[in-house]
Amino acid sequence: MTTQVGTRFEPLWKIRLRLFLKSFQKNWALFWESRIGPIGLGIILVFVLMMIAHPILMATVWEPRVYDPIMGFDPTLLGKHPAPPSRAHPLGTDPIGRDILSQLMWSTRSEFALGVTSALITVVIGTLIGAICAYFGGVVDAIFMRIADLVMLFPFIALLMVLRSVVHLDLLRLALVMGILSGFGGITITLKAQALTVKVKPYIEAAKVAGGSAFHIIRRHIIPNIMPLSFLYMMFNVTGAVFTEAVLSYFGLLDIRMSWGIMIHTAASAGYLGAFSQYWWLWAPPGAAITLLCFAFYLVGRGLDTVVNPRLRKR
Amino acid sequence: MLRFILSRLVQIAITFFLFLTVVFLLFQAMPGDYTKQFIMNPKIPPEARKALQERLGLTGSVWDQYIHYVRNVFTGNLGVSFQHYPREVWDIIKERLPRTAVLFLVAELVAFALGYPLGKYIAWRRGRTSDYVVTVTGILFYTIFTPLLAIILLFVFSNALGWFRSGGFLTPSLWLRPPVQPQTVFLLLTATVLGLLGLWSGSFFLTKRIGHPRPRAWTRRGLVLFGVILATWAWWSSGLGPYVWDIVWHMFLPVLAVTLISFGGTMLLMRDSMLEVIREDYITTAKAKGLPDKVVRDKHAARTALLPTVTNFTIGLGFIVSGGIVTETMFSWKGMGLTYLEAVLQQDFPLAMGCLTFTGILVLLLHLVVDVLYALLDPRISY
Amino acid sequence: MRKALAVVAVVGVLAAGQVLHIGLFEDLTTTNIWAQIGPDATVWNTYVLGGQYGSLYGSVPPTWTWLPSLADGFPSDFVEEDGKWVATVKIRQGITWTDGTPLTADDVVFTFNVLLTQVGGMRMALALGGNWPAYCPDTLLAVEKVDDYTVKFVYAEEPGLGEWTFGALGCPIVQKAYWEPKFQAALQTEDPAGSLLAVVPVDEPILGGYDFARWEPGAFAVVERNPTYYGTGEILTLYEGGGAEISNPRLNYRFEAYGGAKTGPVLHKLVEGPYVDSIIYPIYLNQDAAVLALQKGEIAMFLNPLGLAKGFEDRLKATPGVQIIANPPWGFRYLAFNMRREPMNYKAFRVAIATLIDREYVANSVFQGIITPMYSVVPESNPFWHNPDIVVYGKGLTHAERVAEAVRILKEAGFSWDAEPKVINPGTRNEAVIGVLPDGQVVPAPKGFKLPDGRYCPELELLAPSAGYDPLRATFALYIEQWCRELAIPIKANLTGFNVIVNKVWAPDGFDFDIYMLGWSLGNPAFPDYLYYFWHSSQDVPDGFNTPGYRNPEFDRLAEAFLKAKSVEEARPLVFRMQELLAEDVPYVVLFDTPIKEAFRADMIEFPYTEVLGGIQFVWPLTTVKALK
Repeated sequence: MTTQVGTRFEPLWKIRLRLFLKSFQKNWALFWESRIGPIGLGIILVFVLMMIAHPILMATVWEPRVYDPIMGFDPTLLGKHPAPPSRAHPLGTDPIGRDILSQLMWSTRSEFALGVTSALITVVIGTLIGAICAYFGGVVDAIFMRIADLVMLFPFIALLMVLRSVVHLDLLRLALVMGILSGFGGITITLKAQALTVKVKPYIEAAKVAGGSAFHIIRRHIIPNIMPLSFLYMMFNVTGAVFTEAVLSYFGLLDIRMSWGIMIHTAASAGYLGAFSQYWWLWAPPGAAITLLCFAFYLVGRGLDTVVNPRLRKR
Repeated sequence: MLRFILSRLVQIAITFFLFLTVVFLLFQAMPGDYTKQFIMNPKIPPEARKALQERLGLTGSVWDQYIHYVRNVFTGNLGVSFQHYPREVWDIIKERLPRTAVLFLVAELVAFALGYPLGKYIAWRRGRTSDYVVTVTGILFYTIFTPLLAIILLFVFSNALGWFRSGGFLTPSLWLRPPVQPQTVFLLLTATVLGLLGLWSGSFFLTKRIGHPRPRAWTRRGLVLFGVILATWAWWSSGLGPYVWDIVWHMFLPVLAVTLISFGGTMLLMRDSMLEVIREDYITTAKAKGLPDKVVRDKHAARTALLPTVTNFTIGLGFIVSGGIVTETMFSWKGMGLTYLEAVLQQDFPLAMGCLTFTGILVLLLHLVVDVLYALLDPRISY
Repeated sequence: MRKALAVVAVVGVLAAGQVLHIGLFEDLTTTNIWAQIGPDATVWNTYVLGGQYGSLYGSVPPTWTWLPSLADGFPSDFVEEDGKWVATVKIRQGITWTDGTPLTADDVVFTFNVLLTQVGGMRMALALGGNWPAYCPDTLLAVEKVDDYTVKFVYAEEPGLGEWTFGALGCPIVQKAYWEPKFQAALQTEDPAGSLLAVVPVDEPILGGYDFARWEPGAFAVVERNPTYYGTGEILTLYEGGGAEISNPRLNYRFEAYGGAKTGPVLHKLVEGPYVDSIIYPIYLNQDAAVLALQKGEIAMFLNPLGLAKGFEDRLKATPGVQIIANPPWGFRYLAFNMRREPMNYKAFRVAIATLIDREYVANSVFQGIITPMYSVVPESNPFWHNPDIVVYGKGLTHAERVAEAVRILKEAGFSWDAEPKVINPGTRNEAVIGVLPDGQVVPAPKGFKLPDGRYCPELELLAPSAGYDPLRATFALYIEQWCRELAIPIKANLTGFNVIVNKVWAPDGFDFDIYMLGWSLGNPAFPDYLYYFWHSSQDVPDGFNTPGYRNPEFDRLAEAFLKAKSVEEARPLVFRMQELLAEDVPYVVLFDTPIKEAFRADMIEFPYTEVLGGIQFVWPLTTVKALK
């Protein structure tokens, strides 16, 4: 054995980074090629900008007493609320004199927080259980699959309607509950199926022979290989979480102080919803925001699908 | 095959039992009870409240109540509603279910009839502009905030154009002294739709012998058209025409809403499973043989790709209760979804539990149907 | 001859009768009278079905004058007979059920006998539940027939207004011939009350102006004019001085009460119909659909106990033919303190919070007049019982003055701060509790609010309905939270579901809350007996109604005397004093309510009057309204 003096080893992290960048470039190209993925990403970026802009506006241009999304009130328009869009209120005011644009922008943050938290929890649980079930099989597998069957028997929104009187559902708890419930649901079955295709690969066998522990194999080999699919499902789950929150808020069933769903609920309960075009600024902006955010994450999910699933790619 | 069905049945029974337990525990965990609503009247003495609690079966240990509930379910008795006391839950479900069933059955079928060919078409045109346009539109409808869609539809068709009423399922003045109960009409409508569906699927077997694809397709279409005409004629000549028409007219907007939402899902799924199938070897072989594209698409690819789509469709039917919550609220359609929502809000536990239990049974049965369908239809699967 | 003419006139009016469409927001749940007053006592059931029955006496809107309806004149006074207290009531002759048989003492006696029957260790009235126990008070021992048109009520002790005038005498009467066999059959079953509730009545003979005809679940209900209604053509004259006169030319019946015509000019002259052949009640599951139907003229009005939301009002105002009227509500929304806990047990603390709450600001600025500030536990809209001279803490003060006053009150009672609140620039736009004084001195944010014994005040929870359930209360709660936090009083608003609040306030083992905000819709405006139930110390028990835990011996004495009062005149000063005590001790802070706004098509329906406490939905059972188109 000779020591190679003078030859400098490239550090491992650099190689990894390079590999990562390379694969990222390749995947990004595929994602870009899907055309719909970037559209979704673009919409999400717009929402992110809105989210960032709100505190800046509140600190500079908007006076908190008037523009606070929950406690704000514009006294100059007394008796005219809900006021139509004007220079001071680009999207008008709601029935109790709060600025719609401010509410819309402020709520973006909670929608992201809710959607991403919930989806992350779902995916972490789903991936872990999927991998474990695939690796061990047997009783463990049977138990988790029955749990998944059980969870899938419950209509999601209907279940949350009951849960909300058992648990005090604020935004964080809602994210947790939704995340956990969907984590144990259908996603485990899909991810397990994916993990099974990995499990039969020769390198897993090799790792086993080399004495790799179950934990090691699951962590280093199985999970990384189902991660892309998990990531894809995460996008769909964000859509699901945002949609569910909006529906529950719309029915007035959540203990949240402000959200897009609550905005429509406020218009509806004050009796402005059915006037349609006459008071469009009360329902159209939040309605469009919910739809667009759900739409955007779904598009990104579809875009990723083409990256993850070669069969969907262009020939 | 029989053994497979049997083993599935056992699994279903276990899942169902677990499901019942979870439903029960869930409602047990809900704070308070229905009699709390009576507390809002201070003149009701505590004794009266106690009596009510006993009458509603709210006393006794949790275990006793559980046994009572499970025994009830297995004897086909879902208990007595609190809100509608002393009406039986089953009686209420029987009243509301047909309304929901007709609505969703029709909508899902229309959505399927739209989504299936469109999905097939865009999969074949992968990557062209039409694919993107249709896909994006489909996704937009699939992810649209349901109340928003309902608002837009009501605005356009009911408010601006004035073509439809904004809610309800019949016109009261027409039904003051009707020759028939709306209940019956809904049941007959469900039967008609199912009959037509049966005729359509039966037409494939009936026309098997016809060799050429074109006359075969025409015969099939003719058969279905004949069925539709026959059904319309039967309704009209029975003298119930105006009554049925009234209900169908009221159904239009909610059906449109559900159709728009679910066609996207069907279409996208069909597109994806088509794309998967297209990569299969036998399709490549078929193409290599020089068969025309259309034949390969419709005969070879689409048939296989149909399976997951049908599966999704069938299982989706089980969730009409929850799917109905939003749509039925927006269109004032008093079906299962609204019934469930009201029951939960009013803490009418037996009714809410009854709705959930019923959904559970329905979904489980549909799962079984799907499994059997798979076993029968997919040549790649055998048990 | 005059009588004949009157009949002809009445028939002439009736010939013009038509169909009215009136929207409902919820479906019926039963058609059975026992269930409808009992476990299914929803306002919607009452609207549609309640008009079929009659009671011996009732409080007649719009003046809520207590008058005989099935009875002939007022009841006799109570006399003591063998240690029991007895009074008699005469029944009006000539009243018939829809099957042609006359109403007699047997029907009245039968109705009460059903309620008095012992089943499973309790009275049927209790077993049926709902409002039945109120009609059959514990002290009522028996109801007996004296002759065909006289009944005798036997009480264990001399009853007060609550047990007699506004209790048993208001009970709906059912027909003996129809219900007797069903009742006997029910008694043979294991659960007689349950069996009675389960009866689905078919062609039940009734007395009222409208007879139930058809119910299409989820879609509509129909009532039809009762052609044999005894009240048709009956004229009720209400005089400004409180007098009343009933005259029924058809039955040759006349009765003057409370001084009759001598009490000044006529206030209302109401001629009973019914003037419409049938009323169709379509069921709308959302208000938008009903508003649209009203705009299109598909319905003449819709019934809504809570009144119109502002948006509906804005939209309907512009619709030709639609008239919107506002009536004062009979209820209030309030804040309640748990006086069993610290620091809510200190009167100064409650008074300070009450001082801080600026109802006028929220009402006029935030809600732009859609809510009415309220101060007394008896709404101002009921002048007979409302006491206008009660103490209102902080009334008319500016925000800065309120803060100063609250701080003063708290300090006087021994409360303290680590950093005490000080208002800077009072009365100017830059008024604040924190900031820099003109001389450059910095006023730090108040902090460290301490109880009189020097401990820090614990974090307090203010339970209030979420924006989903009631945006008005939710917003109001947030303002209260803000005002208190400004003074470092650690109150946190928890906006949550209605059921959550109810289940915490009335927790199984006592009252588990610090402060909560809810609303009451009150009972009969003629007799505010809720004053007893909400604040009497006997109600301070788990599941009781004295949620704050208010215990004041003077109040208790007044409340007891009030229930036992023999006349409203005797009861009035008691109610006034009770309001004073409650205003001073603030177990509740009465906050606000919304006027009841209602819309109807003035080109389709005509009301004999539209000013009535609680709204025109109390012009009921619609036997005096006319259809115009």
